[in-house]
Amino acid sequence: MSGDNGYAVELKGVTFMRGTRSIMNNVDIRIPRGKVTGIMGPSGSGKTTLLRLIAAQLKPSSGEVWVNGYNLPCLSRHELFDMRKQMGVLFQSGALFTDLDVFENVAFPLRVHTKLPEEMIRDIVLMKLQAVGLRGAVELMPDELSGGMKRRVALARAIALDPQILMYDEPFVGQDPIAMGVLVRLIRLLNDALGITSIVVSHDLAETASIADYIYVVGDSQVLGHGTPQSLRESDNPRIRQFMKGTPDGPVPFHYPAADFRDELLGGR
Amino acid sequence: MRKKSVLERVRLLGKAGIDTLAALGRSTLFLLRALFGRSELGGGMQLLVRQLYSVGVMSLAIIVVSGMFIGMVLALQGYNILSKYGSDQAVGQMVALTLLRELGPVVTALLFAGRAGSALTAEIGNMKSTEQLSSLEMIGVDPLKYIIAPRLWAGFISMPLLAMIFSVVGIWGGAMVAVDWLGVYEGSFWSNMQGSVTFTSDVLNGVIKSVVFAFVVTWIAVFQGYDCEPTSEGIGRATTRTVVYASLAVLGLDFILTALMFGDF
Amino acid sequence: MQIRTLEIGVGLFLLAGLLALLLLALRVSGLSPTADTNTYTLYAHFDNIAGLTVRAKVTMAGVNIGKITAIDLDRDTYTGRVTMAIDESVNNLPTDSTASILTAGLLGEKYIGISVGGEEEVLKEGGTIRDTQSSLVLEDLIGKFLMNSVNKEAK
Repeated sequence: MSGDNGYAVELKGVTFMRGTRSIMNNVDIRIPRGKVTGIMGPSGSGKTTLLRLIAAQLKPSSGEVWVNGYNLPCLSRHELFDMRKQMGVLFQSGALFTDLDVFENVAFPLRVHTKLPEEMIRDIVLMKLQAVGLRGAVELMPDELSGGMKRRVALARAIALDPQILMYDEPFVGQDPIAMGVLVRLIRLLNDALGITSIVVSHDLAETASIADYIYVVGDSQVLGHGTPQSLRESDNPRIRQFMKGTPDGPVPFHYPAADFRDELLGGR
Repeated sequence: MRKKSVLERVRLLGKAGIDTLAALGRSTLFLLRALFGRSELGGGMQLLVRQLYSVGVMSLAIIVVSGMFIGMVLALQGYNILSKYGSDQAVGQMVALTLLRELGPVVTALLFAGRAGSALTAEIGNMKSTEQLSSLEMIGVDPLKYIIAPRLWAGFISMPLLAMIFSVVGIWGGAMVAVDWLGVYEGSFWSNMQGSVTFTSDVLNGVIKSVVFAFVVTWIAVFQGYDCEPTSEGIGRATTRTVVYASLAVLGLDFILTALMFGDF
Repeated sequence: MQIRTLEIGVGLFLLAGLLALLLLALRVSGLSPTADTNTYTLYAHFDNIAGLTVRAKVTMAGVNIGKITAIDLDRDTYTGRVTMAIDESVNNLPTDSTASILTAGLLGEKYIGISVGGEEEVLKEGGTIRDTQSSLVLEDLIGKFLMNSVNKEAK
């Protein structure tokens, strides 16, 4: 068993196919406990798939996904639901339940999984909302919130049950600089204060590099490289260099694979 | 578009067949899991009440209005034809039998597919595209139990009730036109109806029909929402599919059920 | 208190559904829970009951006084035996009353009309009406008519 060896999540030789297309090909990733780990890569490189594999919403075609000492693909549907209580996910859109107000959204996991009295639920919800700075918004409905606030409420909901692993799916997409700054601070703060393992999936280079302790760069359905943000910046792997510097052409070509332009123009179909 | 070779066409046809088969299997598993999977969730009753409201009560207006008009039209048309043979008092019997056996269950199912079915598909599809379903799963709540099951049950319960309300309102509308307007003698209108309508073979068979339709329509609507592609176009397509598939299924099943119930073989 | 209004709405909806079923049962299909309690049974034998159905009405002077509960063949006399449930309030039918099968309108339903006789004695539970008139069979009528005209021509 790969129990407590300092890693909260371990992917061993994971391959994931969608139809005949392979999204992940024999990927090994180890995510250290209690740290913020960034998973970066260009759009469409299977980052979200990776997250869903860890959350066991997808089953790998082959390979093992160990979370807290359990191999997820081997668990039953029921055990999985138990397992997920230890994980929190912040989805791209926030995914608040649109028919519940902010308070009920945060209280939802508590109501489902605990038999706490109403006053205690109230106290916990207010504590979590205080942590994300939205205690004043308790009575609002999700459609009255801005995008950044939605994400913060969703974050409060994700930490309601004090999970051991917290995953962020593209937390910085479409946020204004202030909301972005707030989120960056929150992620770091929650990680250090609660001692949880954070996994940040993102392609926003600067923000992720500023909070992550360790970064995996994925692309081409493989792990291209990993290391601390500093060591990756100095990497001499051209693919990593292209991604870290954001140059438009390089090993990842500007052009989608096509026949020779000259031939196609002159060939006159 | 390039021209496809014969082999390619055969391959595509085979793929379509296998895809259809897979969808059928997936939807059956989905249904079984939603209905019979175990649930550790409390407050199921409250969820059901909420859905009964949005599925059943919200469809009431369209059902009542359409029912009344259909009953009135039936009485008008029936009177026109029957009065030629001097048996215009049979108009009550005609209206009642048509509504109870056919139009009540079928039109209710079609309206239900359009009103509640498409709404269910869109709602669930929207939940899927905004990742609410995934997020429920991550909280450790089975969306099949929390989202799907109450909606299925609400549909199963609502539609037979709606169909009965439809028939009653239709018969009332028919009586209004026939008796008050066309001057059919009220006593013979009702006694003729009561003489020819039997509770078990007409009323109950109609209810059985609408139970079957409820099952099929709700199943299709909920599954299309759950299985849709989580994009705006995906939801739109799924909603259209719900209405088309549900209507076809209702009309096809109606023929089979009618043959079984009233066909005498 | 939003859930409260929801609950009330749903409650009303369920009630409306049940009421609809009740109306369909009582008003439309004429299923009456008290129908069987205060009736008595009479029998009548017909040579031909063609077209008469169970649940058809039994009338007297155009007034509904009961309904047909069963129709079967009497093995001994080869006649159709019709069982009628007559309202208890009409318990003064003389024993020589006549039962005939009538048609409502040209194409309407068949029913039984009873015309009163003159005897002092009245029919009791399980009694039989002896004097009956069978259903008018259109084919027979046409057949007779044709035979008549053929006979006339032959003369």
